[in-house]
Amino acid sequence: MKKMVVLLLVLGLLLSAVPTFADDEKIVVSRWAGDHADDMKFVAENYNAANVVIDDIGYENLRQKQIQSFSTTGDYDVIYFQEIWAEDYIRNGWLAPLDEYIEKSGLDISTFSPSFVEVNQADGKTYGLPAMTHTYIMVYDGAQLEKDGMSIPQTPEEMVALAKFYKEKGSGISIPAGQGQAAADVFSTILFGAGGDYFDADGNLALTSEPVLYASKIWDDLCKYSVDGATTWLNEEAADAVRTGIAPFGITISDTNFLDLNPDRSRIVDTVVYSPIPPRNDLVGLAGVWSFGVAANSENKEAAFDFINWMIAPEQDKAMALLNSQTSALASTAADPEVASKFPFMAAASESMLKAKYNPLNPGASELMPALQAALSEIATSDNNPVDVLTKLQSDLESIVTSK
Amino acid sequence: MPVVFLMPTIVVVLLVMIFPLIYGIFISLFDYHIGMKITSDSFVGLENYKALLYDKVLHRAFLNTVLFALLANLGELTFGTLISLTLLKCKKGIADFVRGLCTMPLLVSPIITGFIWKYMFDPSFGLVYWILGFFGIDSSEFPGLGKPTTALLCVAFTHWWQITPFVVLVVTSGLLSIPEERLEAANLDGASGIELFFLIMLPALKNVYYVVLIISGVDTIKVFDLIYALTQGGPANSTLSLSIYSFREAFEVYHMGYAMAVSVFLMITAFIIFGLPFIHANSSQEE
Amino acid sequence: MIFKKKESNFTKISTVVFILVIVIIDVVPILLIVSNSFKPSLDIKTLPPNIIFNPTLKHFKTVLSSGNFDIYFKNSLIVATITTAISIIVGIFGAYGLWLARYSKWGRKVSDFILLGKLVPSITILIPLNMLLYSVKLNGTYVGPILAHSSVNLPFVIWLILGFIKQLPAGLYESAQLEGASTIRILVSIFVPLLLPAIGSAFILSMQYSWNELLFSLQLTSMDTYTLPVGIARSVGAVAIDWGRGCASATIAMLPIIIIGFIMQKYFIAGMTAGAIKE
Repeated sequence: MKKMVVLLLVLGLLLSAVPTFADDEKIVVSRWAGDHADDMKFVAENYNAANVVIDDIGYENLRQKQIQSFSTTGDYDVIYFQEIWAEDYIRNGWLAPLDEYIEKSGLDISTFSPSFVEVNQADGKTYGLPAMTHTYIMVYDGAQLEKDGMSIPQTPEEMVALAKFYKEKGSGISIPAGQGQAAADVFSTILFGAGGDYFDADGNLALTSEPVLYASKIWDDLCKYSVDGATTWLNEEAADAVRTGIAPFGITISDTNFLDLNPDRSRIVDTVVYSPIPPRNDLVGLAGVWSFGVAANSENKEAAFDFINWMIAPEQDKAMALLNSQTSALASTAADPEVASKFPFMAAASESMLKAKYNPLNPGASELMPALQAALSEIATSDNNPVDVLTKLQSDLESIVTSK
Repeated sequence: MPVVFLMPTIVVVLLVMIFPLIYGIFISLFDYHIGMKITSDSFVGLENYKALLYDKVLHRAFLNTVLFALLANLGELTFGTLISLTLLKCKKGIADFVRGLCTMPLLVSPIITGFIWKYMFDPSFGLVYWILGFFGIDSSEFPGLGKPTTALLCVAFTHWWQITPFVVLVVTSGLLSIPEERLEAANLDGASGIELFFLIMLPALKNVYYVVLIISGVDTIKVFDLIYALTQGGPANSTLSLSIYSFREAFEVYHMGYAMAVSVFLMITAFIIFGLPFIHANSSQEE
Repeated sequence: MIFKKKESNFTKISTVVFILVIVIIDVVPILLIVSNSFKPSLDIKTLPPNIIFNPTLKHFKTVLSSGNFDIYFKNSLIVATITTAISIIVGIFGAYGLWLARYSKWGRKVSDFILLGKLVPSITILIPLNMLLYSVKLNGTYVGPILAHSSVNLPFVIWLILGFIKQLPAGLYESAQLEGASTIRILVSIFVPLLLPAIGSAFILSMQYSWNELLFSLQLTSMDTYTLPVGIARSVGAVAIDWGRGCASATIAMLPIIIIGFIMQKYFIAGMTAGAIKE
């Protein structure tokens, strides 16, 4: 009998584990975790029209959690997503078109830079509204460079030379060269700055084109002259190394640069200097943009849109920018003097994004990226000739990956 | 009557293990992506399994996994035996205290273990390189997690750190169960410490090793958490395990059908390496 | 004492050094992470590690306020406790059933091969299990990780308890039967009290497995049910490592289970070593 009681108790506990179904006023936002998520929670507390809950989880699990929600219960109403996911989300019908709501609310989407809106459009419909952008920039300890009589590099070759100079002095350049998307992003930046791309005009994979091979050699050299440990680092660690004085300069994602000014985290508060990553030809940086969308299976689409509309309005957008320098997709916030003077890296970031390109957005790119990451890691950590590595990658992938 | 008592077990195993397993094998016959419906259009038969034959990344992952299992288990059995023999020479109080401390890494979650050793192995601020520095070794001579040549070894080392204490505990009780008289007799015959070990202890430990392999050894072939936190499979896929690869295919590239085929392949590998010897040993015991 | 030979001083000293090295390798990394969690961020990446620093609770505050670690902690506790209860109760019944069937061919086969359940990789059952849970609208609840952890634990727990039952004095069951006790009665009032050490081992072993498990928890939980390892993966993930935050969350997650482990050390060791001697 006792066992039956225990079993019943367990059963009861199990049943109590089933959550009650969400009430109508609750809006669940899915986004990745970090300082900007904390900022968003802070800002969203002032939103009164609905009870906003932000489910912030690690970036690397975000996409699968969102897809899980799209394809099953629909836990999420508001989806915060990256440009490289947009095509997939839209093609599968997971995002609701926003045009009707945009029209009703009178929102003027021309206040955004057009390229940030275009990534979220298909068949004349808009599926997402941009909120945050990022790019890769150089960060230096200005005092250290001055002391050593070095100046800010203007070409990739000068950047390599500066890295070599410091490598010989015992440190080197800090780069996120661990196997992952960050390394691929840095590579894209060098490639775009050299006027190249991953696909040729016909949409065929072109990893043996001259600009790609050029970028791979620069990548190889940068890794060779990188500070110890950089070949295992990702964005945050690479940025932290410059901030804490382990490396005198490095390549960082602009999301992390606000920490350079935090005396608790940074030893270069007063001496930090920024520049775009020096291009071989014209300055064409890599842009990333995070947008808000409404899940097609949300039961509160209208309320979800209202929250998005409130969140991207200039007032809240500027609040986000001032807290921890979320780089805004709104032209007005990006140019705001208060924001620009508080966060000096904004100038370099804006300059890099003036003519920026995205990572390839076609379905083939999701096949290309993991293989590219492994190849870049191979170049970074072995003596293999980068040209050979990419030639091999091209022959492995060319039959599977096209942009069409 | 016995069946009544086995009912709850049967229900749990059927529901949570057998049924999902069969369903997983079923999915591996489709070109299935998460979020889609399974339809006859996406049925590909054994194509996903055929693709395994040509997938170079998979071959690498297979090699890594088997090598890791080998390194991890060999290291743990060797160090575990060495440490427990040494501890048996010490005063009981000290030995018990040390063995108690030893259980600590065992209780730490693998993802935290990965986190700890990622910190320890960093050439810029990790303790490992600070200590190696005293012996004049720097990261160009021992690249640690930074180069494909040594990364897998470092992951194995981290696994040793966590699991060796378990082997110490088990081997110690195995050694203590050897009848005193046999050791006495050998001692009287003038056997050296090494002879003592190889002639008397090792045969007695055979069963112990076998238990270690089937309880914790199997887990090495399924390794996930540790690598997830430590290297994510890098550099240059040199620590990519079959579990990590399957996970990536499922949740990063969204080839769910293929990911299932990889995981079924992993299960078969585990079965051949650990299951068959286990079955063989158990059947021969019965006769 | 296994070795009776007299030892030279050299051997003695090298033994002491060896053991010291082992203890240092074992303990220092954990202590380092715990001490890092109290260090200001800039003191974390120094070599040699700062032993003297201004202790701060800042990282713990961040982790608890914005990291939701209080909720993860509660979730982990619920999942680990219920998993353990299920594993033990089902495990005792299962082991007893197998023991009763020990004279039949199938009973012996199942007892011998129950550990083969350990060969099934988590990743294989993860995705189908998730779909299954969704079809009964239980995805994202505690049910997912609890069922998954229980099923992984079960073969081992049964094997463990079965090993202990086999060591019980022969004839115990028969004499109780002669006194007219029912089969269930014998289990509850005679076997279970004698099996307490085994139950203690099973308790601590399934507790630590469930408390520390990542893969299932990562996929099967949702916002309200994330467990500690999922929370840690959040600040230790591929994209960002904030070492201060990471160390604080690691400390919060590992200290309770280490403390429980120490309190129940006897059982922990007994469980770990069960089966090694007899079998």
